Amino acid sequence: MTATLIALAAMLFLIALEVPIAVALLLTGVIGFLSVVGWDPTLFMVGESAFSTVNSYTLTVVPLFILMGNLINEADISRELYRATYRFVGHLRGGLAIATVLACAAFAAICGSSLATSAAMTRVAYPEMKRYGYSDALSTGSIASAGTLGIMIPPSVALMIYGIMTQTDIGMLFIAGVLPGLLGALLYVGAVMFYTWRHPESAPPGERSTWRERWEALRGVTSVGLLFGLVIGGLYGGWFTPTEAAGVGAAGAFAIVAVRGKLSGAMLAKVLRETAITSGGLFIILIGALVLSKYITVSGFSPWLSGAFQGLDITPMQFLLIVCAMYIVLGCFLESMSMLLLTLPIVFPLVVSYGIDPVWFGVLIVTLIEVALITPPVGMNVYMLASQIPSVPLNVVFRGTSTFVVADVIRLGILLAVPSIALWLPSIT
Amino acid sequence: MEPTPSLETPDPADPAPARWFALVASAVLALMAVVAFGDVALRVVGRPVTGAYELTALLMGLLIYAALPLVTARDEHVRAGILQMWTTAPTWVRRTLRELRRGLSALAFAYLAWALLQYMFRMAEAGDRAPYIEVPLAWVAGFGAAAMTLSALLALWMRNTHGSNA
Repeated sequence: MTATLIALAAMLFLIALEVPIAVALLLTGVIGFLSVVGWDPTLFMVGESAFSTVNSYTLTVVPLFILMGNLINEADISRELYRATYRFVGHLRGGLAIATVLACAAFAAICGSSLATSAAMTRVAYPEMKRYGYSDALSTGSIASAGTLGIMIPPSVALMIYGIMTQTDIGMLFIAGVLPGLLGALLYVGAVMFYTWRHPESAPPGERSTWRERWEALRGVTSVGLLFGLVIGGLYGGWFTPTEAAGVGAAGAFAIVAVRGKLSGAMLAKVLRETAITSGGLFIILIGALVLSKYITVSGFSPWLSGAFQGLDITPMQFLLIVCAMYIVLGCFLESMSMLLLTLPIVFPLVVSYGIDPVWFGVLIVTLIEVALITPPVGMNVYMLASQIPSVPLNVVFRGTSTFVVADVIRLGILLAVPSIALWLPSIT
Repeated sequence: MEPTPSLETPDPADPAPARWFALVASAVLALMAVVAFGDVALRVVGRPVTGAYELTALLMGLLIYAALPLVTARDEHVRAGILQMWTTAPTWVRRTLRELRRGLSALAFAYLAWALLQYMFRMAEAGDRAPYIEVPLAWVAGFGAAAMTLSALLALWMRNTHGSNA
């Protein structure tokens, strides 16, 4: 086992040198596999992994849902979503921040990426909150944090990758993510209310809208509701496989863009290119992770680690608490998706050996990733937001997200104490 | 609510071969979306597309391979910017690290290219085909090997346009 531990340490060293994650995973996996089985089997294993990982019908769900999210982004629908939620809660103290949380939750229902959700909402919500005299900490903190709902409320790229890596049903994972995602939105609303109670000067109320204005604003976002209903309803009702749902979702997003008059050749070319680039970057890491995973299998590391954990005589709950602590620490240093791909080959066999439900564990892991996205020093959502609003210092954004991190920790506690939050919906399909 | 100005920045100039591959990736992605949706739509009227699953899987492979050269050329591979710890290091350290990253990336992609090429020969020899659409699978692996070779070359060429420019 010493050799495997040295290999994993070397991989972490390469990652610390900022070598691309995919390259670090791949080289570690190749050299490790080579040391166990020799040259020819390694060459065959890598060729087979590089071919079968990407030539897969199941995996097409990822680029198609990314395409759907990117198309929706171009439809500029985030503005309507924000306007609709603002009409209902804008008059409350902190109402614009609450509207931001709710609009992010709605946007997350048609977009599987946290970064995309935050980016779309930053353009719309930040100028409004600035105009009403909201503090930078609350406005940026609420956008960065609520943006993380993008990877919990289905469709979710993180849940898809988890499903692919662990052979867990992606449709079940999506359905399991619905209630924890809504709980997250609710807790974020609570976080805004708590923040504005402590700092009333940070969020003056806006004007109250009439019911007529509210219903009119809602009409503008019916397409979002329809698309979500079609995609997730289709999955839930068993009409579509996840890939078919993604195809229908991409077509629906295309139709929304066309109806809203935003369709152009240049826009379409850009969306297709960006989706291809994102998918390429993601899948090369996936190839690296699978090569590493095969090395870990042949090295006998997983049974050894399982034995070591069983020797410690800890309960599944204690194991889960260790996993939570590990992910929170790792999340401080690693980009979220890489963290998932890097750790699953090692952690998932342990999860199985403890008899933990893989669907529930997927939701737990994604919640932990959400925390990682907004905690310093490597909170990707915070970095992305800071790059869009250079006038706001990074530490101000992190100060703003701190209240929301507390909300996330409460959500983690609820998820650990009441697993049915995630498992109830899948159980009745 | 007032409209806000666009916050997008223009893309840097990309090398021509990477652009061509990206063009293939875009076309393949569009076709994949059409096939995935078309299959569902036609199934509703009782005429599912024969071999749609296989075609989609095949297109998926082409998409990922074709996208990689541009990802490499733009230096958009995901890296862990741990505390941006190298940004304040002396110039020679940063330069050495950059060359190390380029070298290791080129090595990894070259190995993948070699492995895919060998896999292509193996599949060609065995005559592997997609059962319904009867397309030989070896050429997909061959395309992957070509894309990986280009990625290896571009890893040596690439400018540091993204991430922490250590």
